[in-house]
Amino acid sequence: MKAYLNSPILKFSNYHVFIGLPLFSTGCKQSEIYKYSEGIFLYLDYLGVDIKKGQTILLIPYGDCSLCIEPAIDYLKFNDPLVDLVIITGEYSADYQRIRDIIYDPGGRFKLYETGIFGPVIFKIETGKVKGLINLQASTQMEFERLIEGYTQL
Amino acid sequence: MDIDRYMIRFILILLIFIAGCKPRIQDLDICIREKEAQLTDFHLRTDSLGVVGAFSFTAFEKDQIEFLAAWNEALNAIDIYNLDEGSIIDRIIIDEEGPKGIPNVDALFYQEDIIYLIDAASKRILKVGFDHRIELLNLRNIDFNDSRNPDMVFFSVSPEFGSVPLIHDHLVYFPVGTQTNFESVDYYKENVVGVYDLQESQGILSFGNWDKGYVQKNGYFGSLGEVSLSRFEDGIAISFPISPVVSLYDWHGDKVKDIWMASQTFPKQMEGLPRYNDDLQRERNFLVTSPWFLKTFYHAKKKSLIRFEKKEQRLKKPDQTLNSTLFGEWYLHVSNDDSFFVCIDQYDINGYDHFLPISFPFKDGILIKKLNDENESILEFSYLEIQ
Repeated sequence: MKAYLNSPILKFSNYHVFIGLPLFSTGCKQSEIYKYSEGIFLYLDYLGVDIKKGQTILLIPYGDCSLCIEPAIDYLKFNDPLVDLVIITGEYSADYQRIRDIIYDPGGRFKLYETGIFGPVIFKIETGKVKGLINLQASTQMEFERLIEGYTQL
Repeated sequence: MDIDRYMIRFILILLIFIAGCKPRIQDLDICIREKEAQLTDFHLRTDSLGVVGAFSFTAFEKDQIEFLAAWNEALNAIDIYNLDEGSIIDRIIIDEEGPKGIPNVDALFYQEDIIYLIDAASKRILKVGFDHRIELLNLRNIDFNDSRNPDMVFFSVSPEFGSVPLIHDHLVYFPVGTQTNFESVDYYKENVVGVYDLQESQGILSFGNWDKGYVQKNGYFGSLGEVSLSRFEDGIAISFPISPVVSLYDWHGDKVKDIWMASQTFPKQMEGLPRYNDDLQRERNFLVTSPWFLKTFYHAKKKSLIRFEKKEQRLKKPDQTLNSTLFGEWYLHVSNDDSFFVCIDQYDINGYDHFLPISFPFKDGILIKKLNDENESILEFSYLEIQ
C-alpha cells in the first residue's frame, strides 16, 4: 500500500489535485473579469473617460461589420438608452436622440486596441474593472431594444 | 510460415508508420537570392470621379499597350486606364439590375477585348466589351462533376488573396468553396478549382486540394482560408495564404510540380487556431503576428510568378496598441519560369506606406498603390523594377 502511495504517478496526481483545486476556484472567481479589460481601459483612457468612476457604457464599434451595428444605430435614432455613456467609434451624427454623454471617435483608433469587441456591447465599470460585458448582437432594431433594455432594467 | 506472415505485417505497419512520419512538404529546393528593392514614383491621372480604392481591378495588355480596368464603386462603372499614357481613357457605366446589370462586383478579369465582372453571391458574370457591348451569363447550379451537389458549390471570390476566376481559351477556372461551416474540416476536403466551358455552357471538372495545413487539428485560419489562382506560361498556379508552396498545374488540372515561394524561415506547415473558435480578437491577433501571403500573380513579360509574404511581428507596439495586420514589413518573392521556378528573388518591401493588395504587373516590374494620395486627380503608385 505504501509503495502504491509512493508511486510517481500518484504523487504526480496528488500534487496536481492540491495545486489544482485552489487554482480552479480562483479561476471561477476570475471568470467575471473580462479577458480584454486592459485594451478597453487603454482605449477609454485615450478617449479621456474617467475609468475610476463606476458607470455603464454602451459601445458601438464602426468599421468591422456594418450589418452588425445597423440595429444599434437605428435604435439610437429613436431612443436614448439608460446608460451613463455611449461611445461610437465613428463619425458624429445629429440623428441620435442622445445629446449628452455621448462620445464620437472618428479617428479609427479603436481597432488599434485589443478589446475583443467586434459588435455593439454593453458593460459596467466597477472598482476599476470591466464587468458584465455582453454582446448586443441583434439582427433587427427590435431585437436590439429587447437586449439593451433587458440589461439596463436588471 | 506464421512468423513470415507476422513479419510481413510488421514490415507493412512499419512502412505505413514511416510514410505517416514523412514531412508533408517534401524537400523542395530552397534557393533565395536577396535583392534590393528600388522604387520609383508612378502617377496615374484620373478625373475627379476616378477611384482605385477597391480590390476589384485587372491589368492586361492589348495591342502592345498596357491597361488597367478598375471597378468604380461610387459610379457603378468600369474605369479603363491607359498605363502607358498614365491616364483614364474610358468609363463604362453598368446597370445595377436588369438583363444587363449586376448587383455587386467582387472581381474583374480579362480576355480578348472583354472585361468580365463577377458577382459571386448571385453567380452572375457580365461580359463587357471595349465597345461597351454587354452580355449577362447566369451560372447557377454548375455541375463540376465531383462529389458535390451543384447547390453546394459557391464561387469563392476574394481578390486581395487572388481568389479570382481565370480564363484560358474558352475555359473559366473558378475558385470554388463548399456550402458548409468553414470552421469544420469538411470545408477543406473538396477541390478548390472548378472549370467551366463557355462554349458548351457547362461545368467540366474540379481539381486542386486545399493545403494540408487546413485539415490538421488546429487548422482554422479565419480569413486566410482562401485559394489564390494565377496563370503561368503553361497552366495555372494554386497557392494559399498560409502555405510556402505554390503548386503548378497544367490547364487540364494535372499537377506539374510544387515550388517553394517563401522566405527560408516560413514554417513548412503553419499551425492555425482551434476550430469552432468564437474569439475574433484571437483571430485578428493571429493575423497581426503570423507570417502569411497575399495573392500570387503572374508577370507574362518576365515569365515570373510573384507573391508578397508578410513578416512575423510583435502583437503590440511599445504604447500597447496593436500592430497592423497589413501595414508592416513584407517580402516580395519573384520566381522565374526560365530557371524552372527553382530560385526566388527576394525583396524587402516597406508595407507601411503602400496598399499591397492593389499591385499588378507593369512593364518590367510591378506597380504598388501608395497609401495616401495627396492630389485627388492623381493616383500614386510605386514602380518596382524586377531585376
